[in-house]
Amino acid sequence: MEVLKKEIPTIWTTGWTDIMNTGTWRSAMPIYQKRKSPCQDICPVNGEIPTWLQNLKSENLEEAWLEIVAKNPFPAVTGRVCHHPCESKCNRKEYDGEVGINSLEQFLGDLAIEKGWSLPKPSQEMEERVAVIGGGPAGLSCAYQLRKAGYQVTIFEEQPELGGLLRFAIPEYRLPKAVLAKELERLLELGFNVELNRKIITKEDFEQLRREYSAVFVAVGAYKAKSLPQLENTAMKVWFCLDFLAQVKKGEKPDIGRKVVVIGGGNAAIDSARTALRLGAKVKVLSLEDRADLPAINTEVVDGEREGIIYYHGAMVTGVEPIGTDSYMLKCVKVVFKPSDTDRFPKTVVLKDTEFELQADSVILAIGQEPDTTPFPSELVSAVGLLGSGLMENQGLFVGGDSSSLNRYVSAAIADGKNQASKIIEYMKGNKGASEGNQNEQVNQTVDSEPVKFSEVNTFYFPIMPKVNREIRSESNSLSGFAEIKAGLSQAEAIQESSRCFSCGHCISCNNCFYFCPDQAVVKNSDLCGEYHILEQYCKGCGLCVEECPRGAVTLKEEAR
Amino acid sequence: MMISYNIPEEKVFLSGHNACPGCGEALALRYILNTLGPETVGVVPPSCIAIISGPQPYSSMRIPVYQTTLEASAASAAGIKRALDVQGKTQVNVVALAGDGGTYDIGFQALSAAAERNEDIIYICLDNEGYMNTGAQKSSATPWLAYTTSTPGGKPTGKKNVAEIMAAHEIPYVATATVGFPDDLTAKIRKAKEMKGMRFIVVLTPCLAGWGVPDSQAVRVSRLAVDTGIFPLYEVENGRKYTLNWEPRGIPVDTYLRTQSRYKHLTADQIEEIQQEVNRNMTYLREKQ
Ligand SMILES: Cc1cc2nc3c(=O)[nH]c(=O)nc-3n(C[C@H](O)[C@H](O)[C@H](O)COP(=O)(O)OP(=O)(O)OC[C@H]3O[C@@H](n4cnc5c(N)ncnc54)[C@H](O)[C@@H]3O)c2cc1C
Ligand SMILES: Cc1ncc(C[n+]2csc(CCOP(=O)(O)OP(=O)(O)O)c2C)c(N)n1
Ligand code: SF4
Ligand code: SF4
Ligand code: SF4
Ligand SMILES: [Mg+2]
Repeated sequence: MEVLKKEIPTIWTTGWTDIMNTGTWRSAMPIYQKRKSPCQDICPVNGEIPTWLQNLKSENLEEAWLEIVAKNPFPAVTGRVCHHPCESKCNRKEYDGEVGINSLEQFLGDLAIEKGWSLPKPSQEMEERVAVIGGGPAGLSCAYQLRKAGYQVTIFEEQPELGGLLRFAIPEYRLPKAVLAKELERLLELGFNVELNRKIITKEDFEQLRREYSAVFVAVGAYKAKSLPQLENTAMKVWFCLDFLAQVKKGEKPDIGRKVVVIGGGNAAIDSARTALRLGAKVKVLSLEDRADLPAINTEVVDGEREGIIYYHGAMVTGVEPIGTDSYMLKCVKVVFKPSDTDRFPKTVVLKDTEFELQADSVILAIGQEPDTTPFPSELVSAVGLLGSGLMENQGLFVGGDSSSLNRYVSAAIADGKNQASKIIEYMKGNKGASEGNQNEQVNQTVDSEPVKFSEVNTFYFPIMPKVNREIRSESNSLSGFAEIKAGLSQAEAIQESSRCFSCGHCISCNNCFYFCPDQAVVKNSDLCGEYHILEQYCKGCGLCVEECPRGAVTLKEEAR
Repeated sequence: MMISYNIPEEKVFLSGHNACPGCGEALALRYILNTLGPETVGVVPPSCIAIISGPQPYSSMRIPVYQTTLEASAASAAGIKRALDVQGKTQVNVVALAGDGGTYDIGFQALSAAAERNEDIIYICLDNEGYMNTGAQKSSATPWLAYTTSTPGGKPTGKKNVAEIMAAHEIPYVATATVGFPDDLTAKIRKAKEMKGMRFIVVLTPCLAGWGVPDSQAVRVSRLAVDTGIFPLYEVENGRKYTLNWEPRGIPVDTYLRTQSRYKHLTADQIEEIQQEVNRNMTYLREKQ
């Protein structure tokens, strides 16, 4: 009979647990993902904000600036006048105040001017020539992107100088001419044909250009003033805001009298009013919209009020009567007016028994402008009276900026120029039969479509740190002339402010995911493409790495087994 | 500025261990073992630590580990240390890694005696506030009113203050630490490693199953314990010199208690009482500094 021998287990360790496969326990796996930050998501030019803020924080200043100018050649300008929707959507706003993205953009823009940094030169030269009509931000941005890709660009500009409204409308106290001039000079170093004092006037003129160039980009802005019938039959001086602002920008002193009423609620109205204040007038602003609905940038409205503008929101002029020889009485009434995205001509409802009068020596009209479409093909004029973008792209004709959009912001114009440049390149490549695709953008495309939410930010890692604001010079100073009102940040302030950025969705190699894994399933590696890597053999899917990533750069994805 | 870590590690603790996903105790073991390094002998009594150290014949700890009885961790460690000294291996650290049941309760006699003799060992208590690997029964480390399977109505008595008891032995080093502050935890291990005599560290390690916490929350809960003042981070040298290592951010205890289902039955009055108690404890602690 055979005796069964029992094997006695050893009391000594004979192996290590790292041969185990604890990865089979999990039902979800963390993945590293570059995700959109809310600031970038809303930025019209799709600026890589978290990336350049990190560069700024690490004092890689030129690198930070290069990241901005890849998409926007005018950071010193936009750092002053952009309506910065990025800040309104910044995740830090919900914590201890938004990151001062706009002032940091100004800091880098100004630094680049001071240091004389140049824009990257085109890496190749292409044969195709493109005509850009209009030398405002939209036209210049398009010209820049085309030139960067090596194309030959001619800019046609009606005025004796480039810049569009930046040069001839936005007042000196917000955007000094010298700043714009420096950014333009640097741009022109890339090599363009610039034809100044050259207005495209007739259809023949325009068709000639289309024959001569591979593609045409139209960005002529909107300069045709709308008029107000109530003010038509009066001897009173009625200024068109753009004429008034342009005169002042040229250094002239238009005679507006002592009492001025500005009609309108957009940036042009507020700028006209603040400019009139600086010419010594007492200024009232009358707008159809309520305060909350004003199209002007809110900080401008507030700054104007602080400087002494008296606002009449939700009101309109019904007529005008002379008093004596130089002055007039404007008959006004309160109204209800709701601007609408869908209806271009929303109703104005007059409120009974709310009549009032305002005395004025002159009126500045800032109630909107439309593009002059005379030289352009009628197919291009859309229902809303603007040049329609996208209507003739297959014929090499592209449109952008104020002339084709009611979204009238500098950054929107720059974005249009950039995006249309991509389309123009695509069109020209298509013509040649090459389908290399559009290598302009898309390279760093983020995978996830939803931007990182505040709830995904782990605020433990960010001790409370209030925002550093640009200083405003005192009132007495600012009203006595046209010197710039806001002072830029110092380098120390800028670096401090940039360090407040959570870097939403953008890994900054902080190592938290690595340190907090109880299974040591996160490895740092240099040989694989990403910097961090998860070992599937061990990861149990607990989600600690996701929770402890301060910025939502790791997410858990369910795994089907 | 941003809080971030830079922690040197020598890989002694291995992947593939049997801890629950997201376990706070496994994370603590990673830091303790990877900081002590390979010239270490471990002593482990029955506890989750014994489970994590590996199913025989496999080990997750690349050092010799002696599994002792629940009563005897400190005595076993002291014996091993003395034997190593006799062999001339004086540089080897001996560390006892015990749970709260094995420290506050069942192994306490041996611990107190080793402290009284100032044995040259490091004793680390991984405090998950209960007898967890046996099914979440209460220990004397379980806090007042916390639910455990043996206190279904909430624990009627408070948590023993083991750090103060050990400080009263006037040993060279006593410290508290937790996994939400890995830089503080590893700094204390490094400091203990360089010292001689009896060193005692109690590390709060959230137990997900026992406390009723989601898998991803051990670190957050650990940090809230500190920032509410429920588990302050401090050190005591020679029973006299007190140092508070992290100023709690003054988060209300309610925020901490609400992260765990073991406290879900608490009334507003009870939470307020806990808050008052925590405030008093913080005041005493500050006075000792
Ligand atoms: C007073 C004022 C203040 C503003 N403030 C702000 C602000 O603070 N922030 C902000 O984001 N936006 C502001 N805006 C809006 C912003 O300036 C415009 O949205 C932006 O300039 C539009 O750029 P663009 O290139 O489309 O047009 P423009 O800047 O108008 O440029 C068009 C160019 O085309 C030229 N042109 C026109 N017709 C012809 C032709 N037929 N042939 C050749 N050239 C031609 C013009 O001379 C001009 O140079 C303001 C606007 C005004 C009026
Ligand atoms: C003297 C003795 N009593 C009871 C047990 C059973 N037992 C094994 S582990 C354990 C719980 C230990 O709790 P703790 O030390 O807190 O460790 P944890 O499981 O919580 O990590 C118990 C009661 C034992 N092994 N020895
Ligand atoms: S914290 Fe930084 S990345 Fe996040 S939204 Fe604000 S600026 Fe953008
Ligand atoms: S912390 Fe580790 S185990 Fe948990 S999900 Fe992340 S990689 Fe996996
Ligand atoms: S935790 Fe840190 S290192 Fe890991 S993904 Fe997030 S930012 Fe990157
Ligand atoms: Mg325990």
